[in-house]
Amino acid sequence: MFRRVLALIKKEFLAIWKDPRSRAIIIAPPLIQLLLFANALTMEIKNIDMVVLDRSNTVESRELISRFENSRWFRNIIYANNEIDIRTHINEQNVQIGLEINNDFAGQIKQNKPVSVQVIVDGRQTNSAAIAGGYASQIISQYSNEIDKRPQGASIRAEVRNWFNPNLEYQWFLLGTLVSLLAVITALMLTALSIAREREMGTFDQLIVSPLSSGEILIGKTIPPLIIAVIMTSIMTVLAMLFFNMPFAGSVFWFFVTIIIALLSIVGIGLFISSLCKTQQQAILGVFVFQSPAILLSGFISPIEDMPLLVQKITYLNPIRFFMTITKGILFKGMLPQDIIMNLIPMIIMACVALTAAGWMFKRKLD
Amino acid sequence: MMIKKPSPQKLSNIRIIRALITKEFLQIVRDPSSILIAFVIPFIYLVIYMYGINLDTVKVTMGIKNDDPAPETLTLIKSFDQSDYITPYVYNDKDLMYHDLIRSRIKGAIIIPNDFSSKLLKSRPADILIITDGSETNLANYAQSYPVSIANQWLSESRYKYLVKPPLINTELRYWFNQDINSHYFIMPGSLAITMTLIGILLTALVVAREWERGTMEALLSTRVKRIHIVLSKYIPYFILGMMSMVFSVFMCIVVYNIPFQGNLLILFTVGGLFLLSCMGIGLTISTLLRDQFLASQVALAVGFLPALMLSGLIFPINSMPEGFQIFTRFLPPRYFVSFIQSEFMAGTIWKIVLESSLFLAILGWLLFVIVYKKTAVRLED
Repeated sequence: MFRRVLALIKKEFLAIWKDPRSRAIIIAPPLIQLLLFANALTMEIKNIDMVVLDRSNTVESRELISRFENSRWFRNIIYANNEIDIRTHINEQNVQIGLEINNDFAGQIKQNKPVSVQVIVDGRQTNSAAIAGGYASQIISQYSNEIDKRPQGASIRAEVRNWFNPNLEYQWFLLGTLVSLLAVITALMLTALSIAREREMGTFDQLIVSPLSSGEILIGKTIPPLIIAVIMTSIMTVLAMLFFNMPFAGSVFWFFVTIIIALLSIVGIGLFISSLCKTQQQAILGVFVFQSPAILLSGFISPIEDMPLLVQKITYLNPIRFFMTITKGILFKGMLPQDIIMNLIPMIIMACVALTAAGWMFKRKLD
Repeated sequence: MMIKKPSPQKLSNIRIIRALITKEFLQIVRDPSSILIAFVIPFIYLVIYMYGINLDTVKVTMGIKNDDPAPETLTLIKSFDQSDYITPYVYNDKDLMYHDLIRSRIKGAIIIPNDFSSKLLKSRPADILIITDGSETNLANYAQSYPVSIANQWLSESRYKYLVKPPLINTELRYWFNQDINSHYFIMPGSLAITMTLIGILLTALVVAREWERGTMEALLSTRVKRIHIVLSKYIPYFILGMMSMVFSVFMCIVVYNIPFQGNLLILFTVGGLFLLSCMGIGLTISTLLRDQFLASQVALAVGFLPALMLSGLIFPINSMPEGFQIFTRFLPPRYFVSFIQSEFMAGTIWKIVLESSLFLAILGWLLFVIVYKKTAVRLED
């Protein structure tokens, strides 16, 4: 039995590995995407361009504008002559934000009287708009506090400490997420077609009439993609640490246990989808139907606590959710083994269910 | 009166194309996965974006430890409790709170120090200590700012309110096009870019490769069918399928989810059509060059779906990317479509944006059509 399975594993490895084009497509894209996205993506808002209508044109108003120019969030300042200018620049998305200072600005300040300035934000890019508006208010209130000569009042300030990532580097968060995301995508693409392709080509029938039992076919189909995906994940982790100084706070042993179990559950799901499909097109699209909602609902883009209760419950069926929690926990926070195990259990259950279902699908085809 | 009859050659051209298109349509109809990608996936996406993705009012789970015995702080904790932005858990044990932060039960912690209310009483600024989970970088930003605004709101209504002075310079914030800063208004139309990329690139990436893998392309080439027939028979059915899917998605957005639409439907679908054509160009180019469904689908994923999600400006702002990447995004069709469709929905027709997007998409679509045409084999030796 062992020799039979070994032969099948060898054949599966060869099927993936013998074609140089398919070798390239397995290795290159995840690595390129890791380096590309890690450099490009951030949810921080930077390089904001602003249009200013300064009706006051005094030392005070120019000082306020220079605060914007010198801040790390704002890039170009365009001066407008009238309100129509402001409107056109914002409409055509030349700028993301507008500032209007009225002509009583300096006079009011000199008399210690409160004065308002208008900040207009382009709400089409809603998330960046809210943050850019927040930055503008922050700059203005800082300037206001500095020139305010009135006696101090009661107020509440925050003393902030960011644990695990003191400067809130978005890149770290992104790397931890990208490594697990690309690992999942690799594992899925390796398995999705493995059965559908054989069925489309007609070679699956040959596999069925061979002496291999459905359990043996299952093992033979599981191990090669699992090994390749685990190796790819390790390479990506090392790259992220070498090129982007990603920290590794926790234990290497538990990290490997995690990726093996997580990828096993993904391989199981991939094989199950593949076993349902008659053609490669169906398998590819079927994987897509699983993969993209799973990515979107993993907490990568929008936090899970923020979703409606029903959707939150659905995410308990999403292996990527647990995978990401552990990856980030181990890499950045040094998560404790008992907490890791709590997150591993759901993935172990999913792996068992998916693999059993896939094996059962083979058996059903045998009858 | 003489009726000009079409020449026999022309007639057979039309008949060949019609026959091929019929064949392609039958393949679409007979394989449920095509319908899946055109209608079920857009539907799933819209539901997820509507209920699962929220980029504006994020609710942060935070622990609170109160060290100040003054009774007023109880009303502060109540304010946190009633806020839409924070789900608070009150802790008595600081270490337990820290442990919960490490295992991601809470995403931040607020500590009210014991001199908090006495400082306020002396009309001085008082600090609250905020600890965030830096491994959730984005959430940490919210965890920093929400408690301060809630606390200041509380302050202006508490018994200390007479000790507060208004700021000298007040900021009046106005959000154009989206006053409630509801992120669904921009992410729902924007998600169309992703679903249309799927149909345009992923589905078409498979269709030519499939014919080569199954050997039906060779059978086709042995007939009188010309290059242009093959190319058009691949473009037309999937274009129709894609546009139907777009109509369905736009209907879902506007009618079912009540996303405000300020623009013009004709312009929306015209630019949408150009976007679809350029995506199909990418998909068919991949398919024609690779002739293998596995490779084609992976390349389509790598150059189509992931950039559409990551580099189109839908979720990650383009302005914040390094300069080189900002230029790179100028060559990606989804970037134009995302910026166009958001503008069309929220601000109405802005001609500069419409023309810029149309021009780019039309040129790219045409270039790719030419490539697909040139690379479509007419002989097997190719």
